[in-house]
Amino acid sequence: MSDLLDRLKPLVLCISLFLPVSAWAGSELNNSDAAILINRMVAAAKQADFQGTFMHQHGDSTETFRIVHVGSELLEIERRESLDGPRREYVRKGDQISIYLPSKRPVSLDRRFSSKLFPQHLPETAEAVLLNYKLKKLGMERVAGLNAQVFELEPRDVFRFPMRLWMHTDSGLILKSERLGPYSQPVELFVFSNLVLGKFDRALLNPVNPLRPVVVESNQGVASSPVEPLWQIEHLPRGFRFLKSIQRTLLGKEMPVVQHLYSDGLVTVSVFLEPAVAEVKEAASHQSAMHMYVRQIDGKMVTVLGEVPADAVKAFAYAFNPRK
Amino acid sequence: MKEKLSALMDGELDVSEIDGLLAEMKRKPELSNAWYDWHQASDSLQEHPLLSPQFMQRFSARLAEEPTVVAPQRLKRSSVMKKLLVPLTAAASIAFVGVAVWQSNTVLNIAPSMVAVQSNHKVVAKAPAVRAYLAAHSQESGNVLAERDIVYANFGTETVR
Repeated sequence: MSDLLDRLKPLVLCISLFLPVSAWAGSELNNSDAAILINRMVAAAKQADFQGTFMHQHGDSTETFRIVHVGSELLEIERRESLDGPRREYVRKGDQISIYLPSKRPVSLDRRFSSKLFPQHLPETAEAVLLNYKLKKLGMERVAGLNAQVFELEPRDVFRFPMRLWMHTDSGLILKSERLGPYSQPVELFVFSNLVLGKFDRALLNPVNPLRPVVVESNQGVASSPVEPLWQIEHLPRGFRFLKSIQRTLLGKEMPVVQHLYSDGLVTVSVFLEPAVAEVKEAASHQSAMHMYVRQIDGKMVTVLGEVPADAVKAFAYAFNPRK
Repeated sequence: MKEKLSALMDGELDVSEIDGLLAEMKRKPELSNAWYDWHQASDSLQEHPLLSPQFMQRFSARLAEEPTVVAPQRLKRSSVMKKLLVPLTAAASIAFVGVAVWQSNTVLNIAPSMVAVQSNHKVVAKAPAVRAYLAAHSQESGNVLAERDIVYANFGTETVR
């Protein structure tokens, strides 16, 4: 009998993995209600005082961080610190960011990044999100001992993956967020394991590692296509904005490549432009939610990479054609 | 010599002397017989069930006939379970094989089987190139604090235009 139970265990596990997905049919919210809710989550993450510990799980890695945050109309201060693995620390006072990383590599961040860290990773304007996603209300759940309302950001087209948010019903703070990939499998998870809201000892904001200041770029992206001398760019997937272009030398390559970055507010896609490489054919591949598409045309090569569906990376790859 | 044997049995013999004693036991049958006799005596004192006479001879003979197995075969599960487990193990393998499984030479159909990926040796050879793209992507879009992204970020250099 116990042998039978042992054999059934994986089956039960399989079923229970998919159960929540099917159980949550969810009701879709209209745009104005959705905007109010998203603005509430964004405001709570900026204005609330809180301290806690959260877990970040991405692919096969799991890490724990401590966060202390003081919000006010005038100056927002937050400190983050890794609790396992190499020591890392991040302190932000308003727009000034200091960081401690094990490597001496120069770091530059843009506002997109600093405003993207959990539990603050929604864009500041609800409209930017609702252009590409619908907000659906799912059930209620408990996270870190607190009551949370579960929401799903459901894509309006085939070019992105859904995301789930657990909002603390009292404060509006996001307690948990989960990015879904192909077949609605979770690919990235942030979740508080404990959270204390309200005033706390200010000494907790003092850094414990020798920090260095970081240059912060202000870049919200542009809606128009960028100009490349060698490339004709048209029909990019809807809802993605061009952020910036970087020239890089990649490991194992002699010629520098040009990297374009595009974002829809929740996810970023990279496009690499370079001369063709002899042994590479047109190809697509993926690992979990990260999809890649390589395309060669007239002696040139486009490589697209991002946590978006296969259709999206392909559409990006076909939006780039060499100028005749 | 018998004192040493007694010490070995009690686990009190010095490590440096064990090899010498074992060699001696192989040469002198009376020593190894003493070894078995003492163990039999201690077993009966402690009321362990006694093995049948000639057990050692028969066991040695069977052991000699046994083929050498380098990697033991895995326990078999029922085939139904196996089918159900494939998606789970595939997901786990993808996580483990990680970056190494990137890039295939044909146009993708989603959800490639892991077997196909593992048998494609070209895939592994190309992994560093893919990792460099991934590093460049993570550096711009990833979480600066995430440990994995720090590792990736050290793969390439950049100049902002």
